[in-house]
Amino acid sequence: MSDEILYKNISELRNMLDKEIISSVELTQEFLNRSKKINPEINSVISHTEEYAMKSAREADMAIKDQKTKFLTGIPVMIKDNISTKNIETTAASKILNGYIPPYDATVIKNLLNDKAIICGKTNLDEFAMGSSTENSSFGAVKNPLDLSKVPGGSSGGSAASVAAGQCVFALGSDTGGSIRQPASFCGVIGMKPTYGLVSRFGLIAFGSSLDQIGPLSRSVEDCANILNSISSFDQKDLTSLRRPFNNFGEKIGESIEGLKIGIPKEYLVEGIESGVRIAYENSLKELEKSGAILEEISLPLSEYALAVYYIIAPAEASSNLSRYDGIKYGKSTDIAKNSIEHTLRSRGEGFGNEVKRRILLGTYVLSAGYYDAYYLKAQKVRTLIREEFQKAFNKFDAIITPTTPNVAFNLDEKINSPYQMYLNDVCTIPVNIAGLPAISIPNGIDNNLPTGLHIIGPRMGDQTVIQIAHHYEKISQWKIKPKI
Amino acid sequence: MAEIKKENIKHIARLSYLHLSEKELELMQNDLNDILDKFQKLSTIDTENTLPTGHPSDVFSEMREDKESESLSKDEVLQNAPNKNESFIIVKPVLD
Repeated sequence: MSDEILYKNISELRNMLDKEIISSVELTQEFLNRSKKINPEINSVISHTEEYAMKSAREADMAIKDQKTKFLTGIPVMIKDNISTKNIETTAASKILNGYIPPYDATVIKNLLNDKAIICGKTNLDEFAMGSSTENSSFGAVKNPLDLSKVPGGSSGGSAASVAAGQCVFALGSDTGGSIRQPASFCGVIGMKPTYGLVSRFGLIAFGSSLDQIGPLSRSVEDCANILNSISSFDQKDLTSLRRPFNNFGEKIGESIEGLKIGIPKEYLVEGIESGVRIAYENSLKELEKSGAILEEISLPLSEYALAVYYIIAPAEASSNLSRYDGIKYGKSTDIAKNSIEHTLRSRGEGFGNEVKRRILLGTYVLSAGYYDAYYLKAQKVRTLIREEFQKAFNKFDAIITPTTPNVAFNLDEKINSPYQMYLNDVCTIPVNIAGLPAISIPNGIDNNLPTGLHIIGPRMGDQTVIQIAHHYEKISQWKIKPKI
Repeated sequence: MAEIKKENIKHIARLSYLHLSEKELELMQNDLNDILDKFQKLSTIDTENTLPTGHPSDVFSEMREDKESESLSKDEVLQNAPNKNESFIIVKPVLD
C-alpha cells in the first residue's frame, strides 16, 4: 500500500471505509506501523495503545458493516497526554505523574469513543502544557517532522507533529494561550480553539482553568468542524460548560464570504515579525479581499498588555491547580522524607520540571499577601478591558485576522534558556484565550521552507463564521508540505 | 515594584511546597525578576472603575438535583496511591 493513505483527510477515509475499500483494522495497522517506525526520530508520541486500538478497530468494522457509522467511526486519532484516558497511562509529560492510570475517561474521550474513533496513542507535550516548543517534556523534546532541526511548537507539539507526520489522521490538543494554534502553524496543519465552554474540560489535567480549552488538530477545515461536532457537548461535570448554541460547527461551510467584514488589527504586526510571515499574511488578506470580504484596519491597543495579563493569571491558576500533586494520592513519591511536610516538599521538588516550578512560584508570588492587588487583581481588571475591547470590535466586524505567530518554527534549544523570549511566541494567540474567543490557525504560506499560519478570530459563539472563512481560504489556497521523515 | 530577593523566593517556595536546591533558587530569582519587570507596564492602565474578570464565560453555576449517582469505587480511588493498604492511603507522620 502506498503511503498516500497516511495523508488523507477524514472525509476521504470515511468514504473508503464506508465503501469497504479498506477496513478500520487495516487502516489502524497502517498508522500504527508508520507511527512506531518514525517515533524514535521525532518523539511525538509518549505511548502507543496498539492492543486497545486494534480491538476498537474490529468493533468499528462491525459498525461499518451494519451501516451504523458516524463521521469518526474507524478513524485513527492521537490524544494529547494531558487528557485522561481510562486505564491508559496519562502523564502530562511530568515525572510527578509517573505511572498514573486514570480510573475514568475525560468527557471528550467518551464522546470520541461513542463515535467509535480509534485511539492509537498519547502525544508528547510541554510538561503540564506549559511551553511553546514541546522541549519542556520529561520524555524529551519533540522534533518538527517538516525539519528535524526545528521545534514543532507547543505545548500540543506532539499532537501537531503526529498529524503532520502521518502518525494519525487527527489529534486532540489543549490550548491555554495558543497551545493548539501555534504548533498547528509550525507543523503546517489546522488547529482550532473553540469558544470557551463549548468543549468540556472534565478530565483535562487543569493548567489555567479560565483559559484552557480542548480542540482539534486536523488536515482539513471540514474535518476540524466535524471533530468539534463530536467532542463538543454540555457537561454537568464542567461548571463552565455551555449548552451548545448550535448543532453543526460546519453549517456555514460553502457559504460565500462576500460582504463579511474583517478587521485587521495593526498592533498584531508586532516589531520583529519575520518578513516571510508578513508577506504570507498580506497575500492572504489580498486573496480574501478578492473573494469579496471587506477588510478594514482596526486598532486593539490593549492587546499589547495581554501577554502580561496572561503570565499573571495563568501561573496564578496553575499554582492553585497543581497544589493537588503531593506524592500521596498518585504519582511520584520521594524516598527520602521523615515527615509528611518534607515528603510533599521533596516529592514536588523532584517531580516538577523547571518551567513548571517557575510558573508555580510566579503564580504563588502574584497571589501572595502584599502583591495580590498589584498583580493578580490588576491583571483580572485589565482582562475585563481586553474583553470589552474585543466585544466592541465585534459589534462592527464578523472576524479579526492576524498571523498565528510572528515567526516560523525556530531551532531546537534556541529559546529554552530565555523564558521571556519563549513567552513572546504566543503574542498573537494569547488575547483570544483572555477573552474566551474562538480562533483557528490554517497554513497560509511558506517562509524558509517552513509553514506560516493565518489566525482567524471570531466573536464568542462565532465558531461557525471562523470555520466558514477558514474553509473558503483553504479552498482558494492549499498549502501543503510533506514531512522530511 | 521592589526586586525579589533570595529570601522572598525561599518564602514563596515554602508557600508552594517546593523543595528547591541553592542553584534552583538562584535561577528562579533571576527569571522571576526578569519576567515581573516586563509586567510593570500594567500599572499604567487605568482600572479605577473596572470589575475583575474571573473567567470568560457568561454562564452561572447551575445547581444539580441532589440525587445520588455513581462515583469511583474504593479500589479505583486507591489504585494510584504509591503507599497504601487495603482501605487506606498511608502517609508519613504528621507530627515528629
